[in-house]
Amino acid sequence: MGRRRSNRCMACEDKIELDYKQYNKLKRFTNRSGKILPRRATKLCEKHQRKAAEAIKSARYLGLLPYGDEHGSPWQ
Amino acid sequence: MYLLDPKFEEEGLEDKKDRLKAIVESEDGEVESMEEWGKKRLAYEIDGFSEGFYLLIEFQASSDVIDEISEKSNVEEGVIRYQVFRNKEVAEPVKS
Repeated sequence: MGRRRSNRCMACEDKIELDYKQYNKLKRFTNRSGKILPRRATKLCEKHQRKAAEAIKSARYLGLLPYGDEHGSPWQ
Repeated sequence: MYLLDPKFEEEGLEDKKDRLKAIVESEDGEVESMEEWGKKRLAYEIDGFSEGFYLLIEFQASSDVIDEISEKSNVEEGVIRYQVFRNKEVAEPVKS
């Protein structure tokens, strides 16, 4: 029997701050092209998923994180 | 949080900081700290800029004047983008 991975929310356990200022840490909640990952992938609870999404969107507005990788793509 | 023209890295930063401070003070706000994040590469191009100078200003002001401060920041030269955040640790609860 393998050890079961904790299904507790990371933000609740580690108390990581979900803030636009920690934009490098928010990157782990986005995929490679910058899209926000769904909760089944981030393993965050409802409250913290919402906070993470808001923080990512603030960081995007300020140019700290990409909206997606379509900017300057060869298809435009 | 202000995103400024990257030219302020070289010159005019102190003037610009004074001007932004004056905006807050003109509405009876109090600037508590200014933090320069410096020049950073933007994740995407904004208004033709691929780099920007980040400046974080923490201030205290009445909630009624935030709109005025925002409006003045918006027309200030050299400001590419700005955003006002509420600091939940120090802010008083909103009175209904």
